[in-house]
Amino acid sequence: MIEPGLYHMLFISTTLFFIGVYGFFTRRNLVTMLMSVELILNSVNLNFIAFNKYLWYDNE
Amino acid sequence: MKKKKGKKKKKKTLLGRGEAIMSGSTVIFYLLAAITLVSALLAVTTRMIFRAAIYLLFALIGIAGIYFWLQYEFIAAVQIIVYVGGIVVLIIFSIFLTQQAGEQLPKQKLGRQLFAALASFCGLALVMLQLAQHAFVETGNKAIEPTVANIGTQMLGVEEGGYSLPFEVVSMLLLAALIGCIVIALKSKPETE
Amino acid sequence: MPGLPLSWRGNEGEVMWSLTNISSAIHDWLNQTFNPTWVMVIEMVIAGIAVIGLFAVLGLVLVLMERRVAAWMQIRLGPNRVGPFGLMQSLADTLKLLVKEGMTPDGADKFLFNLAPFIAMMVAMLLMAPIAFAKGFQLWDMNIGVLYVTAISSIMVISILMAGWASNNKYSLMGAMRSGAQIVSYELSAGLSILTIVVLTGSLNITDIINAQADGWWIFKGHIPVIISFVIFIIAVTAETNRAPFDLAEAESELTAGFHTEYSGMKFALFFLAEYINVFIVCAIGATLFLGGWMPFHIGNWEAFNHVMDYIPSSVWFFGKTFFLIFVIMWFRWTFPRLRIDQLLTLEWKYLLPISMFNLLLVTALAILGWHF
Repeated sequence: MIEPGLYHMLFISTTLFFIGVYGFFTRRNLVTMLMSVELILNSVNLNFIAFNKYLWYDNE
Repeated sequence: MKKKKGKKKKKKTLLGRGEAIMSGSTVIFYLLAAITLVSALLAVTTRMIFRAAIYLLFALIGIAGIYFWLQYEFIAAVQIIVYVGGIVVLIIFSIFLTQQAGEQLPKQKLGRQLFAALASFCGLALVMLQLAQHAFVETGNKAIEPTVANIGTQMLGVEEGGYSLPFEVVSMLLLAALIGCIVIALKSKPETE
Repeated sequence: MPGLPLSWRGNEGEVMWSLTNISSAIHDWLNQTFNPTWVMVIEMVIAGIAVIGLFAVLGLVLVLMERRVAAWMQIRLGPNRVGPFGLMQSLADTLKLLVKEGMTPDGADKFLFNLAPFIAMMVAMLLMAPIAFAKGFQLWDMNIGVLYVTAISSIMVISILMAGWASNNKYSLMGAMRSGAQIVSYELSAGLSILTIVVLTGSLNITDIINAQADGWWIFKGHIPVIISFVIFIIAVTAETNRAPFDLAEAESELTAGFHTEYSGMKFALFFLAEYINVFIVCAIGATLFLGGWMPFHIGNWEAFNHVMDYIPSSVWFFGKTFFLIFVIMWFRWTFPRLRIDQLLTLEWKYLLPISMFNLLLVTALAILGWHF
């Protein structure tokens, strides 16, 4: 097992996004479509947090 | 010299090419990731609508767990309050009030499912390819730690880097939503003779 | 990852005896003997065993206490046959529940039906993490302690809704929906009254909140606004834990037993235990925020008086305050008649919420102007 880094977070968020997209395409019910949209929104949030955590280096 | 060293060390973690050690925290991360992804997948594939909501709940809690793992405790707590305490309860209530109890959702056409699976898999492959080829450049500045105090001062800050205006705009949106709710709730019932 | 981070670094030469030294000694010893991963695992196991042990003891004590308080309120004796003074009564009850058959109704969603009691239990366990039981005795002293409690306790409603839906019973479903509406509404005023203390202290950290009360508890230092928010807090948490007079979720005269109508045996016991643990936790939070947690009764700068008070151990203070609040909540149960659902929602949305919002503004002004002691 590799120590998790930025790419792990991006992998999770991308997969989550496309799981949401799959749900959005297959569901014909408004409530379940809303659930899929929630997954998509959460993957975006996870992306933001991952970039905040990993995309800088110490200046000192 | 010192700077270089720090950068190198950081890059290792950034690219995820650390030594293949199995520390406890790594195991916990993989567990959380697995919980999140599996329950998200179940949430969009199960045909029982209430179960879908519960799987969604687990996926959202898994994401909150990842935030805890990243040691962004405030964000994690907000994730739980907003999504679990708010949105999942809202979804469950809308299921209670609008859907038939215990009935399974109608089966989708195979063609549709195949198309959706293919489309999302292609999208996933495309994005993954892009990710693999793209080298993310670290910015030199340390990002602001999302602690309670920092988020508060940033939200209401009016000087450079403050988010006062977007914050107020979002609160206007919330106000509009509140008024919309009241208008819908006030709508008088049609008179029946 | 958090192992067992140790809270309050006590100053040398203080009278009050802290458990920090013992736990840091254990932590150091483990770190010397094993590698960090195993230290984390071992510490988690220790914490888990401690929490489960506390659960068992609390469950037994609180059930017995409820019955004895009820008996005392109604001028009767209460359980007094099993063991000396009836002390073994709840143990016998537990044994009875353990050997009972756990039934699952036919039309139930079996997976969710069996999952719901465990979620209730897990939430109650997670809530134990930031509570300071004594000086230097806390599982996880995170910097968002109070917010964490508010966040995690909102998962509780999901387990109730899940139980009500999965039972496939109309009484269960109605009880669950009532309970959902009730908990979601009363969370607001509970949160706002917690916020008043956060505003006064300027921190969400439980240790900081307790240390801020070293020269007097907030309920004495904060004048009338804090007393108002304390009263609102107690009302709101009584509603949040589904206890009488707000026990509409399980109103036995209308809904048989509400959301746990279909549960029997050990699964019912888990719900029952989770309810009592939640009562304990909200009372512990109330005691921490308003009555100073493990902080002894101190008055300003009366050195001699404060010094004498320090000789009483901190855990005695904490449990004394918590059990006093639990007693108050049990007192409510045998004093007030049950509310109707519309009265319940009116009380929250038309009275408690506006009052607590206004009160929060008042406390903010108090904190800015520095009018508290």
